[in-house]
Parts: sequence; structure tokens; C-alpha cells
Amino acid sequence: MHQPISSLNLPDFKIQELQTVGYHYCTDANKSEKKFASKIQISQWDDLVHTPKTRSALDIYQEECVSGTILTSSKELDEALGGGIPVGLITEFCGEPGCGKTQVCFHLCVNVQLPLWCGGMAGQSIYISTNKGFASHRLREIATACVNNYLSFKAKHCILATSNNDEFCVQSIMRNIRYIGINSHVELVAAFKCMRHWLQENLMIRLVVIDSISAPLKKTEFKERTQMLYNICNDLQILAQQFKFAIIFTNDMTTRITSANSPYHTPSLGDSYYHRINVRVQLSKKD
Amino acid sequence: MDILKQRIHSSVYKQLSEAGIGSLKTILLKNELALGQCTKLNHDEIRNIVEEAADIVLKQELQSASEIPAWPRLFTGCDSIDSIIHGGIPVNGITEIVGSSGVGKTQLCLQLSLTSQFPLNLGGLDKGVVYICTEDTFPSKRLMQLVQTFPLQFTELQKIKFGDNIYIQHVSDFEQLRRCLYIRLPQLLAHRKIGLIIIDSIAGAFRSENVDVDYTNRSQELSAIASQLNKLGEMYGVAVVCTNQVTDNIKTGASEPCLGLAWSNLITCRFGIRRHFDSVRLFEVIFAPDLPNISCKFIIKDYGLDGIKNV
Repeated sequence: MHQPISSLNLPDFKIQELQTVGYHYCTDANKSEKKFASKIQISQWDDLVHTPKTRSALDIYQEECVSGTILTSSKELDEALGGGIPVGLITEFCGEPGCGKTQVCFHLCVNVQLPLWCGGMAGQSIYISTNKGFASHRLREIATACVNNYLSFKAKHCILATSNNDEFCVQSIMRNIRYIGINSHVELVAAFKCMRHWLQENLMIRLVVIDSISAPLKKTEFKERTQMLYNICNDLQILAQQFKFAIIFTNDMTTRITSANSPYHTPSLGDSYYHRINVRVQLSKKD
Repeated sequence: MDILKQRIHSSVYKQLSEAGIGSLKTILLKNELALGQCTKLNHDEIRNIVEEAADIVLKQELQSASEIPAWPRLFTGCDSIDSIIHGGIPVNGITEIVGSSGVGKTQLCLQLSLTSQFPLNLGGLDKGVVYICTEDTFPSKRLMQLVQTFPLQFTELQKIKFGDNIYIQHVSDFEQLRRCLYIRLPQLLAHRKIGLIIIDSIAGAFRSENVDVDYTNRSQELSAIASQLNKLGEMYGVAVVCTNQVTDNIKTGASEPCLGLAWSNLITCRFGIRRHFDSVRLFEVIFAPDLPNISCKFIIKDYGLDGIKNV
């Protein structure tokens, strides 16, 4: 069974062009390599016809064991997550204002930078803030505490500096967190379009945080929002699998009314979005 | 779109306009396949257009966190409060002060109207204030009293004509508030040095006699107000303070801030004031990205808010 040209992810007019010239199956094109490249300009031909190699579940499991997780600074939460925040997936933290979503994000941005031998990934992070909650001075406080813990841990276990690049200090931590402030849903989409470029420039990115994913979408209409969220989640997950980083979203809560007319609080953005994320952690304050 | 025109080939731009694509927003929100479909451009050209459009819309690059300064602070003039909120209210996002009637929210706002005009070395912003009043009338007598008495505590302070730099606007509903924020305020900010915008109170603009409130509509209205306040705050480096009232939750019996989650999700910091005992008030941090949940006590005197260390 040959793969027909019409099944490729190309605009209709391109497919028609190819068919009028006589190409109906993908294998037709490979035969006359030289003429093909000049006749029809499709630079991404290889990507289009590429069929992914199948891998066994064991292969994927072994990859996951090696890829590592990011510690959240809470032992119980790390255990519940199976070690920490997973790479290549979207983990969402939702909850009412003041429950600690931004604080968790700050901790993750610091912890991802810990050296490999103490549970970190020696990686950098990108922090996309959409709700004015990025307090660099608070981030600095958290970084300072983490460095102090790290140094006392090293001293306690008499671990000497393993290499000259043992640069886990507050300045390097702050330097390795890349920040951008977003004020609208259009800017958010623009940021995701630039994401591939940013990842190619900083190959050490192991964490991308969007705090919050729901804030810029408040003014959009339902249909536009659903489409946008789908594209965002899809594109991010593809990039995350390729470049090996973890994705964190923070989401807020909204009030819904049950059929019995009583209000209850539920995470924003609805069910179709809920199906696109991989892990949801709901935070709440104990009175 | 004009900037984009300069960055890409004119023939490519022509095909874009022929396909009816007139804004950067459309380029970014349509997926690449759909763009290729309607403009008949090839994959590389589409990629290039999208990247250029994204670059123009973003207007800024990734910065490292070490380059982001701490938020500037506007001191409140009350020692105990300033000591628990890192020196004062943040010049970032929207700060809410919530409390029941008569607890002292307006008193604090009036005091901020003065401290905003103090010089930077004393903790002020050296700029004027816009005071948007949605309740009754503006308490001008009390303001005058404060103008006479509050600055006396600061011996190094030069004489300032405080009243000259406080711009007062009365609004009674959302539509008037919207017009004030979208039309009048940008013009004022462009021509005068303003460091603080106060809305006293935000709940007052959304009072309705109707039992059935259209919550979706109200959500959109609140969103519009918050996004405009954030936009102006960032553009002109202005602090924003909104006061809010409390309402009783029928189910739990506790009192909670008005306007629900729709508003709570839009603010950056929430500070609460409540009665402690007699005339002593409690100021507490309900939530803030950079502060723990601590509280302090204060009392309202004729010269302003006075902190109490041990009561």
C-alpha cells in the first residue's frame, strides 16, 4: 500500500500542483530526485514523508528513567508525582489566588538548576509571566535559601567541588532563568512562535513555565480560546519531546453553578483543555 | 502591518493582502497550513512571515532574571505596615485593600495620596495621584486635615502643595469607570506626572439592585478594567490601588471580598484591614507573590495611620 500525496500535510493548491505533474504517491517523488527538487519547491519534503520509527514500551520506559524529574521542594509532592515534575509533559498547578502556584514555579526554576548528582538537571528555565506575579526579589530569596541548603549538604557530607564549573550560586541561578512578560493572548501566541528559536539558542533549557495560562485568555471568545489552547498545548508538547524539557502551567479557579443552583469552584478553561494537559495538581489553603 | 511590510519581500506582502490578511494578529492566530492555503505561499515563506510577525508583536527579548529589578515601593507612612510589606505598596500590577465599612480603607488611600508626592529618598514617588471615587462624595475635609498634620512627622520634607496634585474623578457605574480609564486617564497620564491610581471602591462601580447579576458580563467588564489598569501601570510606572468591600457568603457564613473569583484572579496583591478591638485595626497580607501572611496592628489618629508595636 503506497502513501498517496493527498494525505500529506500540504495546502490544497500544492497537492493539486503535484498531481497535475503526475505525482500521486510519495514513492513517485523519490524516483526522480534531481528533477523533483527544482520542479516543486517543497523544502520540508523529508519531514513530510518521514514515518516515525516504532518504539517498544520498554524503550520509552527506559528513556523516562534516564530523563529525570524536577524536584518540587516538597518530599510528599515529589513522591505523589513519582519522583518529581516529569519531562516532556504538561503539569498544571491550579488553585485559588494565594495558594502558592507562583511560589512552586519559583522553586522549580531554582531546583532544575541543581547539579545532576543532587537530583537536579543542571538546566536553565524560561519563565513566561502573564499576570504581573514575577517578583525577582522573592525568586532571589528562594535561590539564596537553596544555595545555603546545598552548601551545608556538601559540607555535612564532606563533598569537595567536583569540577571548576561548580557554579551553583545565587548569581548563576538568576542568570539561568530567562523571563518574558506577556500582556495579551496575541503576545502569548507570538511567544510560542518564537519558542523553537529560543530553545535552539539555549540548549540547556529543561523547564518552561507559563504563569498563568488562563490570565491572557480571559478576554477571548470561547471558540478562539479552544483553538488557541489546542495549538499551544500541541506545539509545546512536540517541542518538549524533541528538546527534552518539562512544561508547567498555572491555572486559576472559576465559579460554576450546579443544576441545583449552588456555586462551586473549578479550574478555569474547561474540559477540552483539561484533556490536553497531562498532570493536574490542585493546591488549596488549609484554614 | 507596516513594519512587517518593510521586513518581507513586496511580492510576498502583496499575496498576503490579496488573501485578505490585514493584521499581525490574523497571521499569528491562524495555523500555518491555513495560512498557506489562503495565500498560496510556500512553507518557508510562511515560516518567515510568522517569525517576523511574532518578533514585531513581542517587542521585547528574553531577559535573565538577574536583570529584572525588584518592584519599586510606595511607603504608606505607617511604620508597622511598611515594615511587613517590604517598604510599601508595590508599583506593579493591582493592589487591593479589602475590609468592611468604616474600617479605614479610605483613610489609608488618603494617606497614600500624600506619600505618593513625597520625594524618592523618603519612600515616595515624587508624583501626583488620580483618585477615582465610586462611593458618595470625596472626603475633602479629612484630606485637608491630613495635609495639615501628616507631613509634620517628616522634618526633612520640603513644602509641597499636596492638594494641587490630586486629581479626583467621581464615577458611579462600570460605563463611567470604563470611559475614565480608557479615554480620560491616558490623556492625563501623558501630560502629568502621576505615580498612583486609586479606585475607591471597585465594588461601588458594580453595585446593582438586581438579584440576578449577569456574571459572565461582569467578568468581562472586570477583565477590561484590570487589563487597562495593568497596561497604564506598566506604560507609565504607576502603582494601582483598589479598595474592595466584603460580603457575606451565605453557605459558609464567613465574610469574603466582593466581586468573587472573577476579580480575585485579576489582582496581584490583596491586603486586608479589619477591626481588632476598640479602635485598634489589624492590617494583614492575605496574598502577595513576595510576602508571607503576616499582620500588624495600627490605629487611626488625626495625623494619619499610626503603627502599634505591642498592644
